Amino acid sequence: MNLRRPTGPVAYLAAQGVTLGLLGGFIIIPASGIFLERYGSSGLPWVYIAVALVGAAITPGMASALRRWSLATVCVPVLSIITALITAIWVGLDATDAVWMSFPLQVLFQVVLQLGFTFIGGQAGMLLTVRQMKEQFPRIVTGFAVGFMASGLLGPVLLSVLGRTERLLAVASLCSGALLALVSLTRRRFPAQLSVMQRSADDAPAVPLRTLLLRPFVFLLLSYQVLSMFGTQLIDFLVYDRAAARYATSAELARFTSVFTVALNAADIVFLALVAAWMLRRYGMRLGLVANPLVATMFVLGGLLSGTASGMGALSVFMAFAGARVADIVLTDGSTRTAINTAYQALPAHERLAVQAGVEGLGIPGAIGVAGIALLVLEHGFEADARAVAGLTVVAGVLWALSGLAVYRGYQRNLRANLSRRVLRPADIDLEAVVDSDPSVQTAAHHLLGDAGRSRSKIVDPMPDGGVRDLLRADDPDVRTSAYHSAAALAAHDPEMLQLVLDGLGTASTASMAAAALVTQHGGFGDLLDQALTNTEGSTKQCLRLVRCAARSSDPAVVGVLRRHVGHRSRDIGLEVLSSLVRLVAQHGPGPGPDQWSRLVGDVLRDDLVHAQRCDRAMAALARVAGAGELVRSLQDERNLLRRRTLAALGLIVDPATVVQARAWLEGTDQRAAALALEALEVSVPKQMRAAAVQLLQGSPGTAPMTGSATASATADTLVDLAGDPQGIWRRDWLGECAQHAILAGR
Amino acid sequence: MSSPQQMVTVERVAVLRRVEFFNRAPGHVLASVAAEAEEMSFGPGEVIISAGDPGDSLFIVVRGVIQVTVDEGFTNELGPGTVVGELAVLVPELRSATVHSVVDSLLLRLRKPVVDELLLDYPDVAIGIIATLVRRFQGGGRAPATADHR
Repeated sequence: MNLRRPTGPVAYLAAQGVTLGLLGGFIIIPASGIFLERYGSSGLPWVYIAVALVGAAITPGMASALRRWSLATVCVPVLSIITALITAIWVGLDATDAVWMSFPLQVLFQVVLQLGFTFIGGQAGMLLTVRQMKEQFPRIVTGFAVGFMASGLLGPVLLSVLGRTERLLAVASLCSGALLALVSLTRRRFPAQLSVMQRSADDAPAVPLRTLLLRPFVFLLLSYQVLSMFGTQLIDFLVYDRAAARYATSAELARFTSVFTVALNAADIVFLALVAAWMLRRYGMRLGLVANPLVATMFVLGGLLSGTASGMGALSVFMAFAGARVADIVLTDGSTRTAINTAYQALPAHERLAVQAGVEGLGIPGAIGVAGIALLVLEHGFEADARAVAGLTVVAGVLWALSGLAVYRGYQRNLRANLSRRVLRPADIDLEAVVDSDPSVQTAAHHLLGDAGRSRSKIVDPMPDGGVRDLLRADDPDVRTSAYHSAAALAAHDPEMLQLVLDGLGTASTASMAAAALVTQHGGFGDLLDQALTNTEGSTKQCLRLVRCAARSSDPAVVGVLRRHVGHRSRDIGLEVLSSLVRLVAQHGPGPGPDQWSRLVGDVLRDDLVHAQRCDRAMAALARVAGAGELVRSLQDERNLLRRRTLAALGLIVDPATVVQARAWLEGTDQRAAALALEALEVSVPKQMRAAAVQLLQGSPGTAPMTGSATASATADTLVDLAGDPQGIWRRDWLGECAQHAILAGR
Repeated sequence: MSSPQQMVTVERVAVLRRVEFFNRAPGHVLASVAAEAEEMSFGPGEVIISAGDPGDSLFIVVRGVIQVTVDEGFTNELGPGTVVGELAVLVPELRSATVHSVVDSLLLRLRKPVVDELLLDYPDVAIGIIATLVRRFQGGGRAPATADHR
């Protein structure tokens, strides 16, 4: 699986982000100027309500269109209509001085932002994997912040050139046209991904939007977005309310707005460039969803407490609310947008865009409308002041944070459910999983196919007696095979007989019957297994086969024996030990103290991560060494073995069905599915082992060759280390043989 | 036909990795297979497999070109990295095609017990073989006993 950084799509989407930022800026600058001059801030709640009504009117149509046509097909006419509307309003304002047109312009600003982010987020969902989305989406949003700030800086300059405020709409019209061109260009650059129409696997008729929005996870997403926008609007109101109270003249107010907008976007850009991706990578989705409400609410609460102590007109109150606004913008762009766009990826692909359009198109304008109504009711109904608005903001913030936690839990559940649904399709597992060498995979596959109880081996009838020993020594494997079951009954008291049965494990044609005979020894199998795993001189192949059949043993001592040997010197045998344990735990339950499995898995992952990093360093040192090709490929095999060990280990603490499907996707060629599987496992494993598990499952970061003067020395050291394995860390003769071959080839 | 030892194990493993249905097995496992493989050299026109003979091994072309001829007169030329006779290691039966060397060719021969050991511990290899055969049947319905042609 390759999860390298995709520069192409991100560059195109970031360019769209910049253009959307410019477009938004060049709409809101003239819209605010003209509207506030004519109607004042008391007209804004009516704008908010209109935004809600328009959102409610257009969203069902958008959702329906996105299920009928591809995203790229829908984007073009919608952006064309927006361009035409902006142009018409510009011409109307310029030619007729019809100031009322600033009202639809204000509404259009909100609609453009919601649709713009739906389009960009939708394209990102189709071009990037879920893992890439978490890392790259902040960079795309940075484009928007850069564009928005650039519009703020360019606005006054252009205004002096163009002469009239409404003529800035000509620039907005050009930006809208540019966004349309960029979307078309992106579609042409990535036709296979963007022109695809996602349909449900069974071609079932599309589910109505209302039904979709009432599904638990979608409803959580909707609630989160509504509370997010509601909180944002209230914080925005608080800042401008306090600013209006502090600055008496329109000139002072305009100066504050200008400085605050630039500072806001500069902080946003710095955060997006330096912190956002790292924060999501380091702390994950949960923090991405709750950081924004928590931090913004803390600022508002601080302002409220400060206002209660020293009056709402105090500078500290104003600073706290301004801080809340900065935190809200920075964390919205830096974590919330990315986290929520990632959360959409847990939905089935054929419903994703419709849900996204529904949530963004209904939820966000709806929240803006509710905020408008709430402000009107507080102001006119209760004659409440800023303290009441701040109190409402704190309550909304707490609910918003709680909904973030609920979305995260829903995201985990949905990812796992998606994987389980996939498993239930027999076509996905009938061959790969049922004949898999990993018993945990077989167990889960059989369980899911409703075949868990069916035995896969038939044991021949016991033979009556004593000629068994001769039969076990026969040259014909068929003859030996027929004797194993009878031999097993005698082997418990006859070491020589037991050895003959064990020898049967060493030959493919007799191994399965020998194994079947061995596991019937209820009392003695655990001891036998312990001896084989402790004996460092024995045959690895025989030991592997014995461990594999341990999963079929009913000897209660077996689990304890296997637990003791999880860290077996041979990583291959360790994998079989883990796999057999998974199967036994799946059959008999985890037993007392499930925490013990977490500790055991944590130990395995920690040791394996050290070995993985060792392999990566060796591959980097050997990437360009003549004659080391097979050695590098074998080191990659080692990495693949570590991935399988990780999956087997995770089977002890994560739902086996999730592990089975995750493995199929991780080993397949579909990068989107692999990323989704990785994401599902990441959110399923305990936090303390998450980073190690992801590094092990992602595989090698590549064999980028070393550079610099130390290269030759590092290469020589690596080859010598692999050839002799003086510290006993590689534990694979084959790597030594390959290293010696590379050394000879280099002479 | 002659059987001189020309390749070290690492080189044999590199050859096995190029064969589609072995490429899911790790190098150290292929090394154990390679150690059991026999190198066989054939001159131009020499017969490698005769139709109707019993068979229990497969051949991997390391160097050169071989020609597969089935009863109906269908012929196919195969080069390095291709396999002939793989069905015989799954289901021992009489060979259904004649294979001869077109130029000087070097082949690796793997007998059934060696492949059986591999299949027992690495079902991924069996999946690779099945996938190859399915693709072959889907791709024209040609008789399956000859080669892994890509």
